[in-house]
Amino acid sequence: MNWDAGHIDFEALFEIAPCGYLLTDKNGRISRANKTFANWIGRPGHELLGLRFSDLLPIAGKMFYETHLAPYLHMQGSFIEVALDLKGGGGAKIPMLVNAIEQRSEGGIPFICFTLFMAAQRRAYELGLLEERDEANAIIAAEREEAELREQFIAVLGHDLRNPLASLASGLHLLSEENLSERGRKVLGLMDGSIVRATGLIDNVLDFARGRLGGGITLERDASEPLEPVLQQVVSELQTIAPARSVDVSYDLDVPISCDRVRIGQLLSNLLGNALTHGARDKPVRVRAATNDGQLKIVVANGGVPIPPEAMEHLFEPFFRANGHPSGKGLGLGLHIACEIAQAHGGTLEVHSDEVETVFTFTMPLDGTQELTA
Amino acid sequence: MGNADRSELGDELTASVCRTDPQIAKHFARVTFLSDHRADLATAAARVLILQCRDDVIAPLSVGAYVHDAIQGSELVVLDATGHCPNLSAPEPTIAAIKAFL
Repeated sequence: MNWDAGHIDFEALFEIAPCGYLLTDKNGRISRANKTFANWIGRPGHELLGLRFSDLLPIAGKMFYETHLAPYLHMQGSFIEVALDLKGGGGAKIPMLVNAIEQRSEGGIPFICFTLFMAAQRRAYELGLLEERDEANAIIAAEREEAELREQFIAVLGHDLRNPLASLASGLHLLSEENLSERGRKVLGLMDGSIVRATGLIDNVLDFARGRLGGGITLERDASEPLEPVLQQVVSELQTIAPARSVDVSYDLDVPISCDRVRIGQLLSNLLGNALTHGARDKPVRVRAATNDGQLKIVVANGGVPIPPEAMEHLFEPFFRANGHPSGKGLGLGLHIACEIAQAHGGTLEVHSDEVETVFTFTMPLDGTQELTA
Repeated sequence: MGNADRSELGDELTASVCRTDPQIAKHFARVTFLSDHRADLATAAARVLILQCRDDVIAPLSVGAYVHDAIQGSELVVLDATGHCPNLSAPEPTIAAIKAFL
C-alpha cells in the first residue's frame, strides 16, 4: 500500500477501514463486503454475496428491519446509529451500530451503503445500566411495600391503643371523685396530663397513617355549634400538662364558623403543645382566635430561642424535628398534621420566628359556610 | 437524498421509527410472535384481496398462498416488489392492484 500524500489507495482503504462496509442493491442484496466486516462477523466475504442484509439478522432484528428500517431507508434515504445484533459465523450474536445511505444518483444504478461498528462494550454497558435501573426499581417497589405495611401497622396500633387509654381516662375520672390527699390529687393531675398527651400523639399518628394510606384528612364541617368551647377545652387540657406555665388566651368569634371543630381543636392542640414544649418557660404563651374580614384566624405565639432558618423550610414535613433541639420530644408529626388540617379547610398555616417570639398563624376563609348550605 | 416530494409521509415515518420505545417494541414482538389467527381466516365475511410481495422475508409467497386457500373466494395478487411494505417500495403496482379489485 502506498500512503503518500499524493496517492491514497482507496481500494485498500475500503478493505481495511476500521469499520465494516457493505454494499447492496436497492433491495438489500449484498454485492460487496469489506475485509473488516468479514473478519468481525467471522464469515468469508464471498459467502455474504447475494444474501440480503436482513439475512444477517436474527429473527427479531429481521422483523424490525423489514417493518421499520427498510421502509425508513426507502423514504428518508438514510438512517444512522441503529443498534442491531448481527449473526456471526459461529452463530454468536454480534452487537453492532449500523448506519446506511441509499445512493440514488441520476441515471446510475441505485445502491445502499452500510457502515457497521462493533458495539459489544457499549451494549454491555447499556445492559448493565438497564439491569441496575431494574434492580433499583425493584428495591424501591419493595421498600414502598414495606413502608405501606409499616404504616398499616401504625394505624392498627394507634387504633388499638385508644381503647385502653379511654379506660384509663374514665378510671382517673372516677378516682378524682374520691377523697384524696393533696399528693394524690397532684399525681392524678399529672396522669391526666399524660393521657391527654398520649391521646394527642395517637390522633396525629392515625391521621398521618390515614393520609399515607390514601384516606387523607376527612372533615365533618358544621357551623351549628360554637367553636370556642372546643378551643377552651383544648387549652385547659394542655394546661394540665404544664400547670406552671402561663397561657394568655383571647377569643373574638362572633359569627358561625363552618369547620370541623374536632380538627380545629386538634390543630390548636398541636400548636399549643409545641409552644409549651419549645417556648421559654418564663414567658407566657399567647393564643388568639378571632373572626375578621371573612376569615378565621388562630394565632399561637411563644417566646424563646427562634427556630433556626435552615429548619424553617422543613418544619411542616412529617417526622421533622429541629436538629439539636434540646427538647427532642414527640414524633415530629404535630405541625405536619396541623398543616394538613389547615389545607383541608382551604386555609393556610404560616410561621414567623425571631428573637422576640415564634408565631404560628392559621387562617381559613369563612365562606365555607356557603358551601355547607349550598 | 430522500424523497423530498413525500416529506409528509417521511416525517410520519421518522416519528414512528423514533417512537420505537422498548416497551412498545416488546409489545409489538409479543403480538407478532405469539399470536396465531389462522383459524380466523375461514370466518372472513368481506370480499378479500391478498397483496403478496414477490420477495418478502417476513411473509414469503407460501404465506399469501396459505391465506388465499383459507379464505374462500379471495383474490391473490403477487406484486413484483421487495420487502414487507409494498405501499412504500412499490406504490404504483400496489395502488393499481387495489383499484382493479375495487
